[in-house]
Amino acid sequence: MNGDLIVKDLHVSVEGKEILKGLSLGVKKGEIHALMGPNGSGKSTFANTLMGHPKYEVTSGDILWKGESILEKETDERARLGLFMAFQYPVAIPGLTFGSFLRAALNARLAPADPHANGKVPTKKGMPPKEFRELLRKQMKMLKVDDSFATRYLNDGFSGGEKKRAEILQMAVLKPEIAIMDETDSGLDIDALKVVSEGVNALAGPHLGILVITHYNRILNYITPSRVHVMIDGRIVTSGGPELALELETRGYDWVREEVSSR
Amino acid sequence: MTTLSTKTPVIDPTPWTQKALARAKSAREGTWALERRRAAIGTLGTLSLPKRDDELWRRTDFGTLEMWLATLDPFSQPPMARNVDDLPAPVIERLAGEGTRAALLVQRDAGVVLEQTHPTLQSQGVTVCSLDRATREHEALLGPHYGSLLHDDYDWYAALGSSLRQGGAFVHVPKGVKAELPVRLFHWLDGAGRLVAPRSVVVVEAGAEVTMIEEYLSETVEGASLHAGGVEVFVGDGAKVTYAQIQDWGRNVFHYGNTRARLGRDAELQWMQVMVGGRMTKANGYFNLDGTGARAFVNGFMFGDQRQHFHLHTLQRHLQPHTTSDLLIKCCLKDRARSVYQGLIQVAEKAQRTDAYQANRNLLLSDQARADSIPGLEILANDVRCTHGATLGFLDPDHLYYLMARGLPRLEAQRLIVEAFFEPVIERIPLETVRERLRGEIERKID
Repeated sequence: MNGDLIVKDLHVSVEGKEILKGLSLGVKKGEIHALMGPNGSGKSTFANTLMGHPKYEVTSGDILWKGESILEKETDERARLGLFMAFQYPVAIPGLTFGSFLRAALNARLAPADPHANGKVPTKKGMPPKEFRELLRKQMKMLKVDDSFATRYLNDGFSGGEKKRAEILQMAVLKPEIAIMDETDSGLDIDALKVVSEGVNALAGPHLGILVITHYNRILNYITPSRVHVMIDGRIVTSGGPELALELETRGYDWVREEVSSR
Repeated sequence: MTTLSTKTPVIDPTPWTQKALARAKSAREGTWALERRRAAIGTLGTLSLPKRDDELWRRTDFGTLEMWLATLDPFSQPPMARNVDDLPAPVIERLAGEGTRAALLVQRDAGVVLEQTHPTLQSQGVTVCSLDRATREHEALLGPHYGSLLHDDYDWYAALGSSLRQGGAFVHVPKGVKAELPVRLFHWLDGAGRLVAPRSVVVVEAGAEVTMIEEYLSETVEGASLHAGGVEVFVGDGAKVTYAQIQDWGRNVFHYGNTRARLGRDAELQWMQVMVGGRMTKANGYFNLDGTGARAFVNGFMFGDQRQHFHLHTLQRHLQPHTTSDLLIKCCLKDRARSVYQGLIQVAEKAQRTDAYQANRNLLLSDQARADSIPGLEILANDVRCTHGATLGFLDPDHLYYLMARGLPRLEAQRLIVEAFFEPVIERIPLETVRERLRGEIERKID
């Protein structure tokens, strides 16, 4: 197993119930992985555990970022390292404009790690407002997002498609090294799916590793993964190339289940 | 059964009131105003300090202040300011270089030290002066208004304020005049041990418009001070008033404040009530919708930390048909801070087609903070739409998680959420420099 993000035999419980039962996976920059699985297989638990959601308790195993465990790191520290998650259900925060939120986040991301700062991260200093507006405008154009996005309240009154595009826009500005797309395709019509996929493809490259988490392979018609993993009941049960996604489309998940139980 | 002990005043205000009367006489206060002062002193003599069985004082105990009361000085009056440069540095800072783009009235302790009417406003016929001056020079305009909404017998502190009255502003905007510049009022306290009782009256005639910004500032010092003031605002038929009142005293100040507004036919009032400073605040805002088609929009916020205590009582009084009131009070508390919001919508029998809305939103940042919300309705008309609601909650962990997942440290995420909570109210406040100042104050309180 190698990669910039390595997950080793991860066991995770929620409120005492084990959801992930020994999951291992490695993602390197420049790669696109697809993690597919039926409902209840633990996909979202996995995504949120990577991001450090306090609800998910890691009982054993490890998550390594460039060789070092990040299990003890808080969510914001992981994000500043370069880990990003596009949320399945982004929250709306009325009163906070998308632009000012994203500028604060970018300044946090750009801030050099300072061991003497006592956990404080300057979010007001960093990129000057004018430069930020230009950067944002450029990225908004690429994602075919209206200029008014910047001054609208964060996800407040956004349509399903707008919310997902807003997630990709944040990813474009924050430039993570590894991005997790948690069910980004859910709730999108075909046009929105195309726009979002184009955005992801435009961002993909040697500096970014992507983990697409999905139930359907619909999004994989637009984003071509280098590796496909199938997750059932808290474990990756089989992995393969892009052809595995096609097989899942035609045959469903049942044959994988049967194959696993007959092992 | 428990017996409520009758609280006797810890102080006898007579020496103060006699001195206040003598000083007013020697300052040649208008005769009519002296009469009102005498009447207020008479009323004060019939009242006692508020007791805990009084519904409006049950949740706010000025006991600590009462211990200090006898030591306070109601007559401290620093020298006049020749111009803006003579003002205390924090006031100059608040003006943010915009002192020349407004009419300016600055009160320091008990006295008004600067009255600066802008030439533009002067040429429009707008009057801005101290209320003391207005008792002499504008009796015909001020006399019928002063005390017509705010009554001396409201409670002991109101009567005390009217008896010791010194300072405050008189603003008059003639019929049809749209004041081109805002009017800014500042209250500043030098040191501790002060008792100030300013009273302001704002008269905006039919079809006229004005924007008012009133700020209360001081440094935090050892020892208590008391502000016992009042503001009466008269919005004429078809007139429009925007009024922002910002209480940002040092932490040693007890703030007692009454605001009263009367709206005429088709009049509009935009009222902003901000409370961030002081040790304890007791504020009562009454809004009389006294003309068909009148509309009052009341927005306010309080942000308390440490052991700050805020008590806001509002009354939306619908006296005529087809009137609208829309009130939103937001409150955020950390540490052991406490707030009380007590709001009442009253609809008179004839006030059909009233549309009244009242909302109180409370956000707690600590489990030791406490917010009480006491809404009420008194509706005598039968064809009305009145809604009220209150919410109380802690920071939403999903919001925190989302912001932290973008690299924002917990405290920073919390700051953005609290700012977002207040922002819809802040953005209604006139002047960007004032808004920025408030955002800065919120940020300082969170850190």
